[in-house]
Amino acid sequence: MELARARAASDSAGLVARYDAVIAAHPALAERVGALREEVVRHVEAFGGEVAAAGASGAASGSGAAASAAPSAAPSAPAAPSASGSASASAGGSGGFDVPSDKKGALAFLASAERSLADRRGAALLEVPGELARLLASVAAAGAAHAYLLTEGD
Amino acid sequence: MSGSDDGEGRKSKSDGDSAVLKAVQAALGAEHAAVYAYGVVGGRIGEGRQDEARAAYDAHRARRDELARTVRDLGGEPEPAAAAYALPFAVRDAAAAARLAAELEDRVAGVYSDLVRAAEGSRRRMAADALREAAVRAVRWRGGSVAFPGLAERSGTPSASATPSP
Repeated sequence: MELARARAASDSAGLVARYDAVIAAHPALAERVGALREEVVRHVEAFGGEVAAAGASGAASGSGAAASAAPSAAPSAPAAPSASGSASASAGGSGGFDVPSDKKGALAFLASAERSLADRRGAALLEVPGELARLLASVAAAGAAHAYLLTEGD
Repeated sequence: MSGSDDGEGRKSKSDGDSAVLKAVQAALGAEHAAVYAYGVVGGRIGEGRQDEARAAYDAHRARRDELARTVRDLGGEPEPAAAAYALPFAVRDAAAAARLAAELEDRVAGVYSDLVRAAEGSRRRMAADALREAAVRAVRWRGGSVAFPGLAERSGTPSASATPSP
């Protein structure tokens, strides 16, 4: 189950990297999405991972924040984000993500990432023990709520 | 209560079932309270959000009925609704109604997260879906999100909401 937990940390770290890429490309969106990014950072930590933030406050422009998915707590399972590679590739700038050039598109990009991860977690939580399933369900619900907030009124 | 299941060879099946039954009954109780309180919300929320309140009310009624069926499937007797529920605060205007609705959703999210933990398979999936829907409704009512919907131990917010009143 450490593997499932490490993967969840890595997935959330990948999401943080997407937030950072969007904020780097659209600094004006930092205020709108900063609080959501902070919650995703807490998700990474809840799964035992770490996000090395450049700025003390995540509400600031997270341009240099490198989201690393190393789950410090997990002794064995390495959280190699092999699937997407996104989690470790966020050193700066857009982090290799193809962030849409318009703000609305950039928000939709984040909403889509939140929603699809929430969907995947909805399936993954059926395969793990109860306590981790509960955490995954909560974080998936938060992701769905984020997706709503990212696109409401647009 | 579940009585003696004939069992399908799974050890501790009845233990697991009774934990699931308890969690389903708790969720049913929360949905009863939500249905009641959404009646209050609907009366105060105002024209602009009437449809939203109505949709939430209908969603909670549907979950309530689904949970009652689940209780019976598990060999239990569904917990009945109380005649009335004490609201956590007076609801005198639309703002208070929205605040109450957000709290109801928080409370419901909490019992579903427990059901996710207790159940497996399709029941766990149902609980996770219900948790997700409650979390989205909560941010709609509140206008902001929380990091861990349904996990009171990580939020520090009180989970008390509508409670049965004697």
